[in-house]
Amino acid sequence: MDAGSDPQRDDGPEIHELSRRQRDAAVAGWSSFLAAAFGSMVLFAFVDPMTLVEVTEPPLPVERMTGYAIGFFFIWILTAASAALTLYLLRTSHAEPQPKD
Amino acid sequence: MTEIAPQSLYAAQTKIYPREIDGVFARLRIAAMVVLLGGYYLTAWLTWDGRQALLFDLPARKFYVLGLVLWPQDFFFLSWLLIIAALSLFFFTALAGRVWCGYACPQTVWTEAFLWMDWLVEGRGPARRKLDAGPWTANKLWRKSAKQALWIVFALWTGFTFVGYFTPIRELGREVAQLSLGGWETFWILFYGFATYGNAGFLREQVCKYMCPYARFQSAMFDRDTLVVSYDEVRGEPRGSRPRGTDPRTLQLGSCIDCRMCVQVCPTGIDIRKGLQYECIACAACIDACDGVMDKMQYARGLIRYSTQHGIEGRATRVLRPRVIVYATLLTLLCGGFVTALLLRTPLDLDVIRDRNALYRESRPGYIENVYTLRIINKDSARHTYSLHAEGLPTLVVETDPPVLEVGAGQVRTIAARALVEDGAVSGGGHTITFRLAANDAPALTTTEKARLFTP
Repeated sequence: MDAGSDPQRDDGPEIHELSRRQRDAAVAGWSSFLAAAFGSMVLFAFVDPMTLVEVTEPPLPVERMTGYAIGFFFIWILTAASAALTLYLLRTSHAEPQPKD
Repeated sequence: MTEIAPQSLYAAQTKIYPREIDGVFARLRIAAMVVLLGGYYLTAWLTWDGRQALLFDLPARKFYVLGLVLWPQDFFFLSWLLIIAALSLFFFTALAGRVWCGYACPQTVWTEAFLWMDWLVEGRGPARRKLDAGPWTANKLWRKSAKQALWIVFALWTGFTFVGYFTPIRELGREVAQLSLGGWETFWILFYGFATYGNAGFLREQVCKYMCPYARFQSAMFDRDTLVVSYDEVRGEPRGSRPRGTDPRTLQLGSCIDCRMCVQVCPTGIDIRKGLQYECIACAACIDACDGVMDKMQYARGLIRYSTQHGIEGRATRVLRPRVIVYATLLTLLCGGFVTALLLRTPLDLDVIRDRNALYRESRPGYIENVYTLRIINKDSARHTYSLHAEGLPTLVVETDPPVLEVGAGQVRTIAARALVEDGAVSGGGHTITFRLAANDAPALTTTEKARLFTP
């Protein structure tokens, strides 16, 4: 696990992998991506974006492919915000020991 | 959790240069990579009956799988397939541990491909490390840019192929050649290309360590009879270096010569001798490495091997255990049901919507008429003519205009239908009737749909 203490690896350069903050971003981005991919697949299996376009106020003049993309990114933004907020609340809580980076 | 989390999760990590190794499992891994990547890049170009064999046509909301055309109404097949896939993962994990991670996961397969490009351009092991540590000479600049160029081209090709499963790939190829690619197509090619570059070129096993949910919950499917990569502690310990040709027993040592080859080849940088860890993706590189060392020392192979907890403890391994039997039974039932349902699937759908304006009317003397809107969906790949009948009430007849309904391959047709009963033939109120739509040229092609009919 701790590759840095391995004497036979020490002839390599000390290039750091992802920092804690980058890792948090990767985890939040990835988990929300998986949820959004699944969510938009199920949603658009049952709902044709074109029927949503018809009932949109104000009218949205978009094609079906744009509809899919808007739906996917809308869900991803929501899930990513939720994941990021969860991480933020956990990281800033006094009850949890604060990890050192 | 609180004591170990800060250390194990946040310790600064150094770049890992996995040492390449040859052996049985390395060859198996390369074979899996060739088959899976080859399948991914080539399948998109296969044709079936003059169209792309596998095409998820999102703009038209139709999926083409070989001879099958699936419509949004068939979503149930897709969810069924997903359930089968999830259950298979449980089954194989219980039986053989993380074989998925080691050989079949897209993350592993693409990382392997990118690693191969690293080696091709920058050389192997020590040469790569020296290149990274050295100053920015012309040689280093050239090699680093060549590697980036190779990565980017490969990632873009991956993105192009991915989009090629959603819009016909030959057209897509033409559009790329003529620089007339649509906006969304360009965007998704770049998006998927970037994801490939980031995940397989940059993040690599960090995806497995920090981002993969399966890595964290797979242990729930493990038991002491699951196949895992394990170090035989009883045989190996106490470890220690020794001159070649000496009998370890006289030095009071085990078989492990502490050469650390197993640690050096590990792509996630763990020491398998510390026991089973969730970072282990079961790639078996350490098995290949250790077997090579054991051969050189003229010791028996298998100090690190695929075994079970029970096997390592010298006890018998049970393959058929309740959870395996339950998973296997469920899997057999689901797969059998899936194939049956797919074979029995009628490529014809009928929707019946009652006219909302009037319950009934007396259109011609002595008859009560109800009006419906019918939607006929011909999901077959051939044009058919259909005739419509109705049953469920005495004297019931149904009329459409025209009487014979022709619907093209993959087309939807909406028509009006009138159901008529003789006045006084049935009691007043609501009745359930059944519409039966049958293809004139294919007797097996029929579908029924229930509807309500009202009389005074």
